[in-house]
Amino acid sequence: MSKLKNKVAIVTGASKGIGAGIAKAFADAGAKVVVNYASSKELADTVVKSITDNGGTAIAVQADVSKEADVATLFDETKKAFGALDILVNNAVFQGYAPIEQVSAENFHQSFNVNVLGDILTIQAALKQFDGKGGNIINISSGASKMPLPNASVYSATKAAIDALTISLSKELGAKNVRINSILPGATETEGANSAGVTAGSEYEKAFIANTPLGRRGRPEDIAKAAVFLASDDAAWITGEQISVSGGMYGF
Amino acid sequence: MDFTRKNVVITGGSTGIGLATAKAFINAGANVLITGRKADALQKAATEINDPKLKTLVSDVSKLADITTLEKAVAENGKLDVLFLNAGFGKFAPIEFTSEEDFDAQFNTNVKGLFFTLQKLIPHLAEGASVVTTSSNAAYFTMANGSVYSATKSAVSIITRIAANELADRKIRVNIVTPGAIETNWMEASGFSAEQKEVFKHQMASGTALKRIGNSEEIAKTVLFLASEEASFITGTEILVDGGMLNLATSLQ
Repeated sequence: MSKLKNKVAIVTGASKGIGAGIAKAFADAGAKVVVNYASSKELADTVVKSITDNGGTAIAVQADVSKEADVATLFDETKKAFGALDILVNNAVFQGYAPIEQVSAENFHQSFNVNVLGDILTIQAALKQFDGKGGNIINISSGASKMPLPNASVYSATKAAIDALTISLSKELGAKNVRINSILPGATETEGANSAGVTAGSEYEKAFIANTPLGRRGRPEDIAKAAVFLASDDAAWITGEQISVSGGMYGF
Repeated sequence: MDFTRKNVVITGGSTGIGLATAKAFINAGANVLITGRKADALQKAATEINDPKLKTLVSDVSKLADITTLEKAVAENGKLDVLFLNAGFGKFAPIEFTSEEDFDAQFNTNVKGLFFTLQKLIPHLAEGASVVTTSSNAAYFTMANGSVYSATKSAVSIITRIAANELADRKIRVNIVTPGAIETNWMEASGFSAEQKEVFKHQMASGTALKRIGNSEEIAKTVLFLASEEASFITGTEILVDGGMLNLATSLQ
């Protein structure tokens, strides 16, 4: 498959989980990939190695997307390594689940800083590099934006904010030929889900699977395939969309 | 995306989105059966595609007897891998001037025809098969004169999503492709004058975020994606392919 041949893509939060899956799938589809990470250098290097071992092109760049200076570095390094930018995937996420009584101001700000402000900062930087020739932005939202989860009020709110950003910016940027879409994964097998207690065989997993018509959790590759489609010219007339990749869990 | 040796059925396959999707599946290696009401339109499509992997069948989805004819043809072909329920049309008029005949014709083709084609072909769907239905972003618009058409497409959406639930245990995925304003010959059947069509096309383009009307090929690409292994975890989902029109239209710009 070479649907993204010679395209340059930044994937934020790509050292593991869905982000790593998207980085690998993009490289398989011919893109040059910037594997962004905030703290897990070793894991990001592993993703890069798996891509280059496969004959693909990738670099790892450290940046906390909630910090303007870090974002500037991320985009500078991208330009230095690959020149133009074609695709931005906003996947970096802070998953601070807590019952409302335990939501601290710090938890709230960290969630919104990474999940929402981070997207805004990277999109602003990307627009400068798209530089009038158009571009493609994919925001990784969550089914929780449309069906908010208990004990995840702040997380769900950040994801609803991301969808609103997607729709608003599709209108603002369409005339510049910048397409922007959200992907809404359902329950997915990731390190993040594991650390939140949704491990294989757990009661949580059973509950999620019971609510998923296809009878399994998603895998990062499932989400990644939808991202490749949206990033490719096959989706040239799709913008402002929220696409559910949830095994039927979220039917919208 | 490779559909070699996959059996595909497309209703309403002689023109527009159905025809473009038939071409795309043929190019991806599939065996395709297209249906339509008119033998001459099907013949024209067959001549245009000119490939032995394409078969045609005269079958009007609004007639249960014709659906039975389709079912027999499918049964002879073996298991069905992809079913694209696409036949549909719109006839636009104010509520006061909508005849019972026009109301029934749209519901019979767009809703009843889709429902019973699905029902009759469910037993023939292979495990892991994919069903895609054609809705329209008109399902969400409150566009004057579109009451019946929009209602039929809303019905298509909910039937599809429920079918996704019902068929999931056979690993059959069921999804909706929802086009916006595209260049097809649907306007020929719409009752618009030539002048109205031009005005409408211009309005439609400026009403999209991407500032252009789409084309049937762009819808076909999404249908192939949904039908393929690339969409293996996508079911009960709707993909709007409308250049951002619905979002733009349903709020201040």
